[in-house]
Amino acid sequence: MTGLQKRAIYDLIISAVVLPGLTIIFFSGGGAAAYVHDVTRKILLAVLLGLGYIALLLVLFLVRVKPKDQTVLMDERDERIARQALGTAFVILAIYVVLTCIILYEVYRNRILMPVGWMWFLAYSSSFIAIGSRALLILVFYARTNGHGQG
Amino acid sequence: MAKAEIKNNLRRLRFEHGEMTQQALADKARCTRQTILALEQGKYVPSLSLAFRIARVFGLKIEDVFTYEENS
Repeated sequence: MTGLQKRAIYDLIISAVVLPGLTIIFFSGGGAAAYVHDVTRKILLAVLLGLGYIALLLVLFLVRVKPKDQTVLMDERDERIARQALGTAFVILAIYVVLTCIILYEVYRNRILMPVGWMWFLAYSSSFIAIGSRALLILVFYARTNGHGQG
Repeated sequence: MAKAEIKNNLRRLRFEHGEMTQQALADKARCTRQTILALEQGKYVPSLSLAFRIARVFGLKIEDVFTYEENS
């Protein structure tokens, strides 16, 4: 397993924990409208996101293991997969943001005002959707080109 | 339009060179074992730089390791 694959697995696990947690906390107790005035939910979300970001930083150090001998941890194929995954994740993120904005527009078009809490949700979820989708795509691209065993 | 494929003799060459392992070849060519595996399975086309490094490990010319085939 390459360093990039290991990092992708950790990033995916972190995103898989943070994203549902974020959604549950955000939509519980009144949803977006009440979020701005709900201190408990704001603190919970801040703690969850803070832990998520700290975990992502820790992964960087965990994966940066120095090879014992001359073993290469990341080569041109890994870099190509990383580039492809980043490009595709960017498109996924753009689609997510546009779709969310369209939905919010349709829901609130006749109400003039939209709860500002939605901006927080969009910002928080976007960052972890980007990280999670990139990690997932890296693993998918590896699975498409990898075999098993030692020849 | 004709479809082109880059094929290689890596597996055969490894065995002809003292049953060299994928890891040993990867270390000498400065790439990962997974890349050697993908190359042998025809799932990855290497850069020119990597192709030269692999050929050099076996002491061969690049065209003795990699062949370009055009299928119409």
